[in-house]
Amino acid sequence: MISIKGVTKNFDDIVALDNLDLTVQTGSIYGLIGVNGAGKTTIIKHMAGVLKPDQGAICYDGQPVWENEEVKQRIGLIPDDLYFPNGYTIDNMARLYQGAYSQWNEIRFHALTELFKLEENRKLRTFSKGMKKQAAFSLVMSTMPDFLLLDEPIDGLDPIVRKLVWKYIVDDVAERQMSVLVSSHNLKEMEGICDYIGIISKGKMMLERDLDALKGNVHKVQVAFANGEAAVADPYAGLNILHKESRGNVDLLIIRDRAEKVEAAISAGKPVVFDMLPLSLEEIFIYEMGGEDDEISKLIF
Amino acid sequence: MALTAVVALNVIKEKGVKDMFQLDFKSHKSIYEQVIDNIKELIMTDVLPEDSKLPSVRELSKELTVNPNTVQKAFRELEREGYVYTITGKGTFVSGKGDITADPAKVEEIKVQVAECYMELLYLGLDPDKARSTVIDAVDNKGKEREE
Amino acid sequence: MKSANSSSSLRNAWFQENTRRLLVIPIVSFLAYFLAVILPVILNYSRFEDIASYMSYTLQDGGATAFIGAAMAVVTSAAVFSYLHDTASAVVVHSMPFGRRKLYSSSVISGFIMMLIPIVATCLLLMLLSGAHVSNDVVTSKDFSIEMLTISHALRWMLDSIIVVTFVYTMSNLAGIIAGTRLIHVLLALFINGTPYALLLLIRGYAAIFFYGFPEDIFDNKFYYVSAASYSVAKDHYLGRADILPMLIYILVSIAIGLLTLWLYKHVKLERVRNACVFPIAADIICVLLTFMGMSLCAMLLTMIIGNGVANKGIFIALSVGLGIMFYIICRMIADSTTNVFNSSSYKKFGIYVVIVAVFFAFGVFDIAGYGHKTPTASKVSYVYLTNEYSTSYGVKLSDQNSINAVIALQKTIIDEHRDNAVTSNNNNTTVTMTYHDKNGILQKRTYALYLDGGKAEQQFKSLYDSAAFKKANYFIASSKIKEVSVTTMDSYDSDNNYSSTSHVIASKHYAELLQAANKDIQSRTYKQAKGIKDYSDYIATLDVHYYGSDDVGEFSITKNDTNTIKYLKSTGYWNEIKSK
Repeated sequence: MISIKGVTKNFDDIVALDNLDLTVQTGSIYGLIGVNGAGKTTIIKHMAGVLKPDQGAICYDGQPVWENEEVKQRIGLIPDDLYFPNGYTIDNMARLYQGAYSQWNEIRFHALTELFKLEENRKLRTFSKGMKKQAAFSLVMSTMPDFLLLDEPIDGLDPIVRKLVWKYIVDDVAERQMSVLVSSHNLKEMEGICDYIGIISKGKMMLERDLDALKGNVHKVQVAFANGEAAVADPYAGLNILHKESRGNVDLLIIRDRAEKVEAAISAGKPVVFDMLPLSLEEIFIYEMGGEDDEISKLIF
Repeated sequence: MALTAVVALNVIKEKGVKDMFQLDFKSHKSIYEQVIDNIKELIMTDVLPEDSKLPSVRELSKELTVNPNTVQKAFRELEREGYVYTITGKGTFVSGKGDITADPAKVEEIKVQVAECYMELLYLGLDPDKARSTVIDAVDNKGKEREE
Repeated sequence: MKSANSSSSLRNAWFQENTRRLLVIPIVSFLAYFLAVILPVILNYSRFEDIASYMSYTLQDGGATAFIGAAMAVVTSAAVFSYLHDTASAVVVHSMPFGRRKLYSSSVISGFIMMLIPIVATCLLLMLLSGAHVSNDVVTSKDFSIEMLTISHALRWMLDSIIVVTFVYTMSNLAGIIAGTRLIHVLLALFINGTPYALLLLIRGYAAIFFYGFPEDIFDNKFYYVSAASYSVAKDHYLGRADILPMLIYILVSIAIGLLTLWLYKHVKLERVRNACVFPIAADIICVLLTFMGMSLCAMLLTMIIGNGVANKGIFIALSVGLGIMFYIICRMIADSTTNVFNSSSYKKFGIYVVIVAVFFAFGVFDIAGYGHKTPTASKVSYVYLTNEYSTSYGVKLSDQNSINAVIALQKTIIDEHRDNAVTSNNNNTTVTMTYHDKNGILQKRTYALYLDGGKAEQQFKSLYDSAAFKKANYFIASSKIKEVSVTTMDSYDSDNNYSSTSHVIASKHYAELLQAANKDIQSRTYKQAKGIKDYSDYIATLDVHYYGSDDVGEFSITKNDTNTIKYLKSTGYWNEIKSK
């Protein structure tokens, strides 16, 4: 389990992380989402033991990560800015990783380079950006990490490769209980893969929840009553209305309540139009981030 | 272009049927629900016979490229509703149809959906009697299909 | 498949990777050493005399190889810490399971071993080539003072090179940890290696310009100790026989700086990579130092040029203000990596700079401590050594109270008159240095120009010169310490300052009486006569006395007035020899 508690970090006079709490359960795939500059890369760097928080603790199965070689052995990081020493081939990198990580799996390494069709003796600087990512993935996964940290991992990869990458990750999660934290803007993809979501904004954790619970609790509702009059006085009474908009006789609402409760309440008013849809992750994100901004809420409807 | 995952379950291969299990990532229905519904369908249409073994969580999640926790939750829900049973160390197996307990809340939900279909027919301009008989005909026809 | 994950730093993956990456450095360095010392020997193997002095200079003083070594050390340091100066590499490397101590020691050690390889290889080759010999022509001629290439020379060179390289490397590593980019690393490495020496020179420059009477040769040779590189270059020329102690100190200092660097590394905030300095305080300190050095150097040069050798304090201060602001702005721009340095933070820091410089100027330019006015208390002085042009050796040692008082009085007069201390060549002044000693050591040392225009100072000097104590201190003493006595005549002297002279050696049996005769002439020589001896046409010959264990030569210019000396030389027959030239 990855446990981050009360982490605060200031970069000179800018507050990058503000009393941040984040927990990744063992065997969970945690999606970290946030606008650019919210602090995703910063917290991942802290989790990799590269930066030290001004306050707070970052622990893996109870062990703090800072300057802890044993813990770092179990962590695999694929940063958004890849780095390979000048003139290195994949094989050179493999030797470095092999020497550094006691769990290095040579067989898996060759399987991966074959899968991705990467020449092991070719200099990495001649690779395209996507192939570099594939190379990084092959190397990091071959260290058999217990904790995988991915910062914007999937841009630049074609759909076939993405599929392969997720398959491998999902396999390790199922097989070895590997825990994954992935930060990405591709919310559709994350929706299909993550079981936990954290939304971060301005260095603070806004919302952290099981994905199904998150989606199951918030609904997008479109209601119209005949002649604009409901059969009961206020069909919306008792409901947690997060947002309400009216276009003519049609009401557009975002309601945070259990589906059955919403249905029961609104059906009582005998609507002629009643559509209830769960929000997609993208919509939830835009809504949580957009707040009162009309422009953004229009994206939802 | 929708991403559809296609799985060939070993058990289905025996029956010579492939491509039975499709996930629609664009649907508003969660993956979890889709996995549950798909497996229920396979069970109810006897594609997965009683006491046959389901693929493991790991195999299924890998085949579908879906979070294993999601598959795990789906299996648990199927077991709670009586569709499958688990033997520790051996795997998850299909229950007999008699063991399935229908969740009353879900039955209510379907009832509402059926009622809505009726409403839709009205919106199309059918008169109430025609609408009603259309719905009943559809149910009867489906029933006949099943028996064939 | 598990790999052996040994904790021994010599085998860990980072060390191996570093070694592999850095291989090009020892190869290139070895080539440089080869060209500098091996190739010349090979080409002149049988004619070693052609390169003997070059080899002697290079092997004993470092020469070109000191440069090669220093460059190699800086480049190795830059290569070894390059991962720290790029955000992507810093993230990847620090996320790997290496603690900072392991990263640091593996990096430093692998770089060090890389540097040792070319030095050791060169030494081995030199040892193999120690059979180089001189050509037959030289062997047969009697002028045989050529220093050959020996195994001990090679080993000594290797030891010196290793120490210099280690020292520069350590300083460069310190720079590398403080710097946030590769460019700053290299610049900072040069800065840290060169600043102590440069700073000392500058501060001494202040004293020389603004402290009335500052004896410029103070600490002259001691400055070379400040850096192993300068020490290596200077040691045999200026510092006498090199000894073990400085070498041990350089090694100890290197180790201490290495530990300091490790401690700093542990506190580096990686989010500051790509700033000029990862420690903001370091950037501030360097700004202050660089501005001070740039301002001082330029202000001094300009002031001396404007004043034609005489420093005007007002001009200096005005120039300092302008140059200080200019240099500070430039330094701040480099440190903050932006041209917009005009903000309150910079102004505050500049304010601190101004305060520091103001305090420094108060003491260093305006001499509020009164260095230029101090004279010692006569009762505390046990003797004073007065260096002057008119003595038989560099100066005279005066230990009686009257003489001491007289010297102090002379000094007071010179200070009061406060004339320009720059000695000109038009013969209207000469230099005197007073070094006051007490029983523990030197109390005070001052150098002044003594103007020979009949003024009060000259009058005081004249009475001192004519005093019995002074004369007695000037006497030659016949002792066993005398190595040789000779009378030297100037044979010819042309316009290019080329001259030829002949030394007539005096037999040791004549020492005592000859010196006695000279002493009588010293006794009777007046100041006016002494002053009249200006160039070679004013005297006949010089009596030179060489001593064992000292470079000092006692010199007495024999004029036609020195009848006793001439009479003795005539009586012993040396005179004919002398006169015939």
